Amino acid sequence: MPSATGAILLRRRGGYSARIRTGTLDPETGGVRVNIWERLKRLLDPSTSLGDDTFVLEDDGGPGHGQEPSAEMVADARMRTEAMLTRLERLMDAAPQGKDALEKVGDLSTSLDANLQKLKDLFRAPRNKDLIDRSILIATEPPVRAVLLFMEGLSDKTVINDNIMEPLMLLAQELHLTPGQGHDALDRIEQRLLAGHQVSRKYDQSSIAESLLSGDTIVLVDGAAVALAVETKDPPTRSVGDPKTEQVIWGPHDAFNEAWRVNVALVRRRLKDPRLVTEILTVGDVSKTYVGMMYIDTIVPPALVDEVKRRVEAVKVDIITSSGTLQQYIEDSPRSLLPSTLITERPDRTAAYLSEGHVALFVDTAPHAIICPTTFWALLQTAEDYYLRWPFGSALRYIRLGALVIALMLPAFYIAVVNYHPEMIPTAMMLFIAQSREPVPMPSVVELLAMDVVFELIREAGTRIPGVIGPTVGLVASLVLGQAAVEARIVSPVMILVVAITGLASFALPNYLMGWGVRMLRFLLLLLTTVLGFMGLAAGIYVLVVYATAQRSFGVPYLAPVVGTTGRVKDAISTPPLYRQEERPPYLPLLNRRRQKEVVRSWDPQAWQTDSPEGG
Amino acid sequence: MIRRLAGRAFLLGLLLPLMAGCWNRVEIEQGAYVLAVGIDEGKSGPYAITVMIAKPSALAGKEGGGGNEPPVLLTTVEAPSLASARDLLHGYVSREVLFYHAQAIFVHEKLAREQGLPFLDEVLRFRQLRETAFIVVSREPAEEVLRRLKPELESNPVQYLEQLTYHHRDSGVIPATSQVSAVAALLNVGYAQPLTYYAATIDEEAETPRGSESPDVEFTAGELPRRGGTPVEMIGAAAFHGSRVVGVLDGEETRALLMLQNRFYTAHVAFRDPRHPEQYVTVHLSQGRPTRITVERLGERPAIRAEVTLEAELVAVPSGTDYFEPASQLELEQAIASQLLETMNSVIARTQEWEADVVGFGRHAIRHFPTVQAWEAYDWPSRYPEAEIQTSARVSLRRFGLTLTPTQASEEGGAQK
Amino acid sequence: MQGYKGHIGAREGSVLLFAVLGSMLFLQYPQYLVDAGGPAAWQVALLITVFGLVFALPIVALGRRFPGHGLAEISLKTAGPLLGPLLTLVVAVWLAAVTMVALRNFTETFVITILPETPPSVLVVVGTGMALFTAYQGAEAVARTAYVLLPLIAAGVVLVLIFSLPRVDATLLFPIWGYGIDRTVLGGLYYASMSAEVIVLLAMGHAFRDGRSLQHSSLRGILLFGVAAALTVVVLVGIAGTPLARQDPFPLYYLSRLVYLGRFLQRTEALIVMFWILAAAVRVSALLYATAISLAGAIRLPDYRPLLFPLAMILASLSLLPKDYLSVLTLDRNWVRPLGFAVLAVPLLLWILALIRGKGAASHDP
Repeated sequence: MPSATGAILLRRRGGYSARIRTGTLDPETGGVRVNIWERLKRLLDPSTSLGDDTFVLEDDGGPGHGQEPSAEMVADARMRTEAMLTRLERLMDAAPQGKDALEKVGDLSTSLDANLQKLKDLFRAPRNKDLIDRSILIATEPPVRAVLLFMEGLSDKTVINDNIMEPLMLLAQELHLTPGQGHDALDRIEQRLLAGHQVSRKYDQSSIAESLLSGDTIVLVDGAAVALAVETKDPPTRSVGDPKTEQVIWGPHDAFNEAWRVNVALVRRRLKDPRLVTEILTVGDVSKTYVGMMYIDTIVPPALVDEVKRRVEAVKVDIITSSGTLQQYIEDSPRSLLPSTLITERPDRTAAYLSEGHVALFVDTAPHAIICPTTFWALLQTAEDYYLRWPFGSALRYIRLGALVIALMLPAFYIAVVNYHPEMIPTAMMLFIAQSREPVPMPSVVELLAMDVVFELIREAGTRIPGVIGPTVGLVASLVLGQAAVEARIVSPVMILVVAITGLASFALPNYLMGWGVRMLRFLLLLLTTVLGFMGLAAGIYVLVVYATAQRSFGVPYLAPVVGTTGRVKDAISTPPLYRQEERPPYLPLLNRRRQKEVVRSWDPQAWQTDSPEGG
Repeated sequence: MIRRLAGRAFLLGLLLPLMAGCWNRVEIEQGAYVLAVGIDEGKSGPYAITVMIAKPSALAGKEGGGGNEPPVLLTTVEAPSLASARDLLHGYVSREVLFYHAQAIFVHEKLAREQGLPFLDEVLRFRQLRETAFIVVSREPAEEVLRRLKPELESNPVQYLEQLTYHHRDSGVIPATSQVSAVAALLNVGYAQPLTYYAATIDEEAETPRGSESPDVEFTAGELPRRGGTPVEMIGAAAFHGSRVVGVLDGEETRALLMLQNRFYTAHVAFRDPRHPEQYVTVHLSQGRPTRITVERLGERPAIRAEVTLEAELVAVPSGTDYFEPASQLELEQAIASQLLETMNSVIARTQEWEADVVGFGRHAIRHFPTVQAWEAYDWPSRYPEAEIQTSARVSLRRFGLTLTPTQASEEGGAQK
Repeated sequence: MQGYKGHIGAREGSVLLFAVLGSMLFLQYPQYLVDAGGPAAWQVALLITVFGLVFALPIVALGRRFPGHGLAEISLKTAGPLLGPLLTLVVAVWLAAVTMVALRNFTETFVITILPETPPSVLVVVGTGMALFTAYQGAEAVARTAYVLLPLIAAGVVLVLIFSLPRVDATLLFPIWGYGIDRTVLGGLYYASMSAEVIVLLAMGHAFRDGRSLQHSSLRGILLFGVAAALTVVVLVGIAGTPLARQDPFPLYYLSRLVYLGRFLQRTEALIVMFWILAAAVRVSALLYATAISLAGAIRLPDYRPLLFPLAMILASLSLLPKDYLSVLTLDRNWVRPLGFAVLAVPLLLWILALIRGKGAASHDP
């Protein structure tokens, strides 16, 4: 039917025309038989053409246009306004009565049916089949009417049946309870009948809605303007699995999953300290995603906690889908090519950073933790560096540093040498390169860019392709394409080597976001080098370093602790032995610096001992 | 609006590098790389400059690329300098002639004797040339030498030359010019006169055997007693006075020179057997202590004493003499020392005759002067020909190879004296 | 600039000064040293270090007296509202001249050595752009970049010197007194203003953590520069000899061209030049920043950033004025360097005035 309203929402052009196509019903097969002429007529007759039959959804451009808002928005606004007015009224009534009374101000009424209807309207039930309401009689003497509300799929049915409905409906009889009036009844139900481990009181519709949407069960009792929320959360989640992007060979293999409570638990079992605090923040008007913020109270600088909270609470969006999006909202320089918060999916790494005075944010439905602040060197580290012995850890880190340099600069360096300074190459190799490039018609830069594009295609295809064909693509691409390209004289063999090594190096970088940043920067450096040779490369490197130096991550210089701190620099690139790391990293103004005694290996007669009995 | 325009301008700017040019960019296969340069007197122009341009496909080692085809292109132009030679070469060489990889510069001896090395200013000033290139003075015109430089073991002729220069470490018959560049030496003639490599070609068709009448082995370039191999020989040194060649030293003399300069490493040398003068004892000589040069007196006639200490290992004793006995050892050591002394003295005499202090005694004399003005007032190059130079050599026989007693065929019976 | 808390420490400051001064070694300054002292050029280098340290003492004293203040504020407080800005202006003008000469000098060097066909204006624009970007980010960015890039810059010098060592002939360093002690000392005096760029640190005084950082930075930076200069000159004369070293305007480039390690590592001077470009960028950035901030302080602007872009454009155009390379060298050697003495007198004057008028923190921190 044509809708006369809603220029914003949708518009049906004309309407569906009456069915023109007729045929005869075949009694034997039960199908519709249409003869040839009818089919041809459909093609030739303009009135039966597609024209008005297609469903079209177009935006006329811009909201408003002077039209009234749609009925849906009007109804929604009405509900909210009513609730708000009720709350205001009661606030004014309760104001002279003190703080306790103020907290209990809500917008429920004492009538069960009115409350139920309001909630159903709010959730667009019975249209919305997810909200289930179950009316029961609580078996007190006399019985009290109550309604249970819960969301299908988010709540644990067994707990509802066994721990809420059974006591209320069946067991209350044994106790011979009298319901009492209004709020007394509620007290009795809460304390003697509801066998749930977390029960809280909700006074207004929006908190009831929030509760319901998290998976709790709401008990509405006739005669009380309060609802009881029983915790029955059971959202569908994966079990704790392996890390997907941060594998280690020699360490724990559990990784975060999408339920933030599970993630917090994974961290908490590694840091069994009462000073480890989890605060809950909510982000997003429509998604109302829980964001858990963890920190250790006596170690973290309080200014950092306040700043993180300030930024998260200032985010006003409708949905937050994942940690990647939240990261972009709270970062210092979201347009920078290098990330200034660290996203990790390993609980052991998170625990380590928490113990060094960082703050961790857990976004619900994202299998990551956001660590703020972070430094550039943290992007080059993995958890494995500490689990291995320290020379191996240092070696790993140097390899990664080399990988960073190669991934960033090898193509540009190659172009600078081959195009601007062929004298740098030893004569024999230079002649070989010249000879292998002779049949290739394109300049070196174009060749390099083409191979780079092909490599990125391979990489992207390998990521998106369904798992069964995945390895095949990699094999086909690398062997066949490379070989065929060389033999078709489109690229020279040296170029394939350069591109392959660069690609490999960029994947040796442990941080996925940094890998992307490095890839973009590589193109930039290549461009500069093409125009100006080594001068361009030097200019690019210089600008990059300046940019990184000037960047800050939550107030900490991005290149700390190499810059911006006094004293010796430990643990930026090379790992010192674990038993020598007595102090926490110096780039945060921590409250408590010392984390282990000077003589950790006190059993060892060969270790250096101090004079003081405490040992530091 | 402005941002969009700026964004588009930036994208257009990104396309800039794809345009040809970028001022300095040269695709590597567009270069004609000169490996060696030869300079002769020119007939119409000041110099005749021969360039040896590498052919990448042949030199890169692809199978089928070698064969009978020469791996380099040789061509000669008459031009006043190497850089201006490029203009002439670009008239018929299709790629851009680049001197970046020029490793060797050959100069005809006649030119070097008469005019000196005038292209040295270009070596310092022109950025494509560099001092690490070898300068070789050749007996025949450089063009001919380059043309006949067809090595057997390598495909790249200049690599062949470079390998040849490494022989100063294992046989000491060519000067250590890779360590001290001739150009630097030329600009510091107050200290020491420069030396360069010396090369010559042989005449392959000649029937008459080469070598002089004397039974000593001849070590002069171009006169080596041999058959087969590359027609170019590089052995010995050319001595300069200023920038002109004044004389040629042969291999043995160069070795003695290296010993005096303290740049001698090792060599296998044959000396006359003191007990059987018609036979030779071969020893492996190496440097013992550093050569000590003491300036005893300065003044009108400077007096200098040079002490050379060497170590020897017996390698071949065809005469069968048992040099394991201490007495015979001493005899052998003294014989070797005296033969070496003879060569050293002859070198010094020749250099004094040429008035060229190629050994570098001036470097030791300068320590005794407090200021540059005093040194320049002394004028060492003019004092050198009158200097009294005493040399002494000491040879210690340390090892005897793998056997101790001499080897004889058993039918000759017993150990001979 | 009140209330600005600086964060540069002694380590970063000394590396900054070393980079600013040390980048001069890549130009023709070793040639000047050899010109003055001949084989005894290393003595000239040491003399210059000593003089530099002496000239830096007033700056150190001022830094300790007025911790957290830059040149502009110090001169305002000490010399009054009329004379103070005038002195700061003098320093700013000199710094601008040094920036301009440095820009042109480095451009010419890079064009001659590695990019012969590129028009110098392109390099000047690139260099100015880099300096502008860095100076905009602030003093800490300049100092910290210098610190991070130090291994590369040091590699540019150290690698060349190490790989050239086999060619060194120690006898070329004789006669030991060069042209005579009198000429050596005179040469040292004439070139003593080579470390006059230490005033850059004073101009950035507000960006340092405290007076001690400024003190350590100045002294250590000059010391490091002196050691590097002496080593460079020793190796240079030991390889090339005095006559060649006196006439070659690119001494370190000459040395790097001689690097020849077997068949593999040869002709790698372009890579070394890349490290020098980094040093040159640090120098021009630091000088541009110091000029801008001194100028801003002299005319009492609250922030120096609005001055940056016009200043950069003016300096870039001015640097293209000299006709050829020789006129740049003449300008530098005969005008800018001697005027450095005048500029070094400014802190001395300010310090005397501060002593007389009793301004500043009279307490002497250890």
